Amino acid sequence: MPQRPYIYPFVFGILALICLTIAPYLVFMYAGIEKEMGLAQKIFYYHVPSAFSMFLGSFLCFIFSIFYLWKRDKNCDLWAACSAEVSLLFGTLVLITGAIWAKPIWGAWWVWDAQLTLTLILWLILAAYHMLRTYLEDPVQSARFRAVLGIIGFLNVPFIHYATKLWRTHHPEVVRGEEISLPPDMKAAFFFCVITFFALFFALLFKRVSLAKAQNELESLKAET
Amino acid sequence: MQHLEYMTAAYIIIWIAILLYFLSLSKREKAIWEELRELRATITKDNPS
Repeated sequence: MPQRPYIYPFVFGILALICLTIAPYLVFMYAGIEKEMGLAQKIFYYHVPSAFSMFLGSFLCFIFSIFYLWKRDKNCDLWAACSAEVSLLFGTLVLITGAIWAKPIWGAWWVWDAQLTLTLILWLILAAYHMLRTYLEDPVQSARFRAVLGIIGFLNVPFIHYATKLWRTHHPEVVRGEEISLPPDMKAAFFFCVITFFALFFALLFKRVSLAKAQNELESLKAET
Repeated sequence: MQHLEYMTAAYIIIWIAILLYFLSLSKREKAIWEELRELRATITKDNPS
């Protein structure tokens, strides 16, 4: 009898919990307050790692989608779909926290800036991916369409990353070449938050995969009986 | 304490969203495993060999 695959969500969940207890100390006590933006700048510590987690999810979706189209392995489709779903969650957080940050700094919740618009496009692609999975009845056709969408979605990511170089944007450039343009205290807090969000990302991803596998098992057992 | 309200709102939204997603996954997983256990028990009862 197959057992519940607890180990990976548990390990990453524990790691995320440990990081989550340390991260607030680094963000609020260790890292200084930015002079011009004040406390609104603290949103950066969770906004940018959320964006990185969204990119990571899109990347995994891209890889698994390619493997699905190549091998036609249902397991690859399952991983791609779960990565896209968790990526959609972090994408939603990026857009919401970005708007909350923009209001006091730019004086508007949203501007049609290149980086923001491209991020919105990626979010819409991920949302379309999720809708295809939910509403398309033919599972093979749905998986094929979604694989193509997953590949197109990730192709957007380099444009988002380099938007500040390619176009004139309002959005600040966090990574300049190989350098992170931040003072050492802020840099330490930032990197720790990136690790925290990646741990959280993998904890949620493994949990989502475990749920999807259980759903598949249930469906195949129902079909047998 | 410039822009404290914006920072608080952003942090609350992030943690509530992640927590709700985690709880929804846990709830769905629990229901599916319950159903699986019941189905397996039924199958074993019907086919004891």
